[in-house]
Formats: sequence, structure tokens, C-alpha cells
Amino acid sequence: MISAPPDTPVPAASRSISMGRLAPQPLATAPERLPRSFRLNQIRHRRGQLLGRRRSSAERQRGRPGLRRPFNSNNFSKTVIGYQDLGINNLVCTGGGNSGEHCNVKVTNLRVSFNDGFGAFFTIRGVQQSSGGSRRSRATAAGRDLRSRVRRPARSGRPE
Amino acid sequence: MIDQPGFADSGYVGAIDDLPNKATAIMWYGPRTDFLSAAVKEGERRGIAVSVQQRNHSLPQLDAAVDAIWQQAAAGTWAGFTITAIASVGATDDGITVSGTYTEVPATQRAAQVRALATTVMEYRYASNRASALSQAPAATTTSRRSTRADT
Repeated sequence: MISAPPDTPVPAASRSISMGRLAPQPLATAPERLPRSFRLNQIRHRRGQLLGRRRSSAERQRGRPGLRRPFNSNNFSKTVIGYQDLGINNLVCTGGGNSGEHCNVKVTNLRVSFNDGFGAFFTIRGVQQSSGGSRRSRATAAGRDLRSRVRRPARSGRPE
Repeated sequence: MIDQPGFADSGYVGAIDDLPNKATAIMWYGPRTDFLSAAVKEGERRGIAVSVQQRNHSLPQLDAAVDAIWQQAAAGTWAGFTITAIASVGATDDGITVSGTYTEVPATQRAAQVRALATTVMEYRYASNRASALSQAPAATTTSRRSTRADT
């Protein structure tokens, strides 16, 4: 299992595996030689390691809360900065092509065996926490906004 | 820890992390070994409070029991019950939990361990502490998920 806490310091020798649009980038030897336009949207560690990429305004628009945000290369990417042993109560992220990104998932069991018809395999079990950036919480927030907009004309006494 | 030499033969079962308090509990099977002492010492060196929680079964034993249950199911000895998952390393479960659904078989024709919500797999003895609640489940056709829980 892989987890990537945002505040984890990146050791110099750690591997950098990128998903989405980011190509695997080990240590960049001379980032200052890159064109300025190419450097501006990159987030780099002080040692020069590529950590991520800032999203463009169009990408941020597509990915704003309340909207369906699928897991694809256009609007979601996370960089794996290292590996660690997984424990119960750890918070992890998962993502799927249809279900999208799910973070803030608390691990509740480290060894759960399933059989998909081709054989048994082990995985983990986790529970989505109520707070955080889950799709459910975003949808709930969007629903509240929608209700408030619907009620507003009734309060002002407008004829329907 | 997984990368450390001797891990496969150690008594390590898992870890229960307490992130806000920067603490962890190592689930451990068997007597304390140098491997465990080294893990505790390394945790202290990193400022992590490490405690040890003793477990009744090792990872290989749990895995063997899980495999045995799947083989039993394939052989048809879990009549009246379709297994969907078998969980073995939880925070409070010191045993195995078998989850699944009842099949369209009269309750009287279900396998003994399905009716009893407890079984013995290999040399390990399992009992249920949720039998009373689960026994109230619909007896005949149902698609709702029920589970039997096996604790040592």
C-alpha cells in the first residue's frame, strides 16, 4: 500500500513515481535549464525533484468542488513520494475511473481475502471518514447550495 | 519493517497506528524476539511510542486458516452460505471473520458452522460472539448480507 502524506519530507534517494500526466521523474539534475514557461507550472523539491504540477485555470475549473470529477489525466494527479508499512487507522486514498478520487479512508483491516472466481487474493478494508474531500461530502455541500437557491424566491414573495 | 531481514519468520501480525498521539501498537504472536526489540527501539528513536499487543495466531496460521476456508467452500462444506470475504487482521478481532450471504437453502440444510456461526478450522478453535444478533436474520431466502464471525 502506498500513501503520500503531503507534509512528508522527501528524502534525496526516494523514488518519484508520477501518475496522470506526469512522467516518472527521478532527480532533475539541472532544472534551471528548463524553459521558464515549462518551469512555472511545476512544483519541485529544493533538491530539484519534481513533486507535482500546478493545475491550469481550466483544469481548476473542471475540478472545482460540487462537480463530478473523474479520476483521469486531465484533472487529477498525485505523486507517490515513498513507501511505508501500512497500519490500522492509517488514512489512504483510492481512485477509480468511474468512482473518482476518495481520500480520508481509514484502514480498518489489514488482511481481507476475496475470491473473484480466478482465485483468492488479499487486500485491505477501509472506511470513508465523514469529513474531508470525499465525493459524498462535496455532493452534500452542492445539495445545500441548490436548496438555498430554490428557497430564495419564495422568501421574497415572488409569484410562482 | 517489511524490508527488514527476518520479517517473514517473525511474529509480526500488523500494527495499529495512533497518528494524533504519534504512537503505534505492534500486533505480535509468540515470545518477544530481537526483531521485536529492534522495532520498538527504532520507534523510540523516531519519537514514536511503541507498545506490543499479543495475538493468539501468527500471520502464516491466519493465512492457512483462510486458505482452508476457501477450500472448504469450494468443496461445498459451507452449504447455505456464499462467502464473499474473510478478514483476519483487525484492531479488535483476534481471529477470523467470515462474511457472506445466505443462499436459497432452507435454514435446516445449512452447514453446521453456518447455523452455529462458529467453526473450527485446522487446529484452531473458533467461536462466535455475535451469534445472538445474527440468529435473528431471515431464515430463508435473503439477499441481505449477513456474516458469521469466528473468534478464538
